[in-house]
Amino acid sequence: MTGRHDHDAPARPAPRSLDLDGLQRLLAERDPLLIEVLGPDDYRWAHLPGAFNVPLDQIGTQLPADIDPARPSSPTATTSSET
Amino acid sequence: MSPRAASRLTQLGATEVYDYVGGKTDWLARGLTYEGEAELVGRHLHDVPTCTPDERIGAVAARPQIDSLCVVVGPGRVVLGTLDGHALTVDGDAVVAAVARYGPTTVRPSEERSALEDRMEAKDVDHILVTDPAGRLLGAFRR
Repeated sequence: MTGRHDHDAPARPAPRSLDLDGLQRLLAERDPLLIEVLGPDDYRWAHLPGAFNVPLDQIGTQLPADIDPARPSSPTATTSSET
Repeated sequence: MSPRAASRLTQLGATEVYDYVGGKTDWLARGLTYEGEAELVGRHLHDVPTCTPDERIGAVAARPQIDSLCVVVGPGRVVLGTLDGHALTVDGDAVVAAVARYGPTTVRPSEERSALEDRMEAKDVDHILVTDPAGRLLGAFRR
């Protein structure tokens, strides 16, 4: 049974979806951390102003040290192959 | 990828995570500022004069900044068509809607500059209108 594990896990607030207007409000009001989650080549090519690079495939079992868990954060990258 | 990243960050303890659904692709397609090596069309836009369908040609042509091109826009600066130099001289009493060319070719500001210049050269085009995904005029690109 996995029920015990699921019930004991601390509740995690689900990520909230934003459109562009929502992101711009967040940028104006909350100083969020923008995270480019594609690789370094994509980051060098173009990224949102002020974003920093944490490739998704390099995120291990701990939150990267650069990310303050209490600060609003938003990954900013998408790819055409996303499903 | 960003939804997965957002979920991953949440699992690892981030308490306030937002998933910008459109992501970088959406940001760049709207011509917003960016950092990086890319030379995208959005960094090389020129202003272009505009008019509305119900204006008289004579009034449009009298504006000092208009000589050979005026972009016909609807509400929200959505591109409807263009007036070329000839259309601006034919009949001052005509309304723009009657003489405009509709459905001009447009590109997104997120296009690579060099690739667009190559296509424009192949088609002997010297300028092209740039719009966001909603069709709103952002400017013109000239090679």
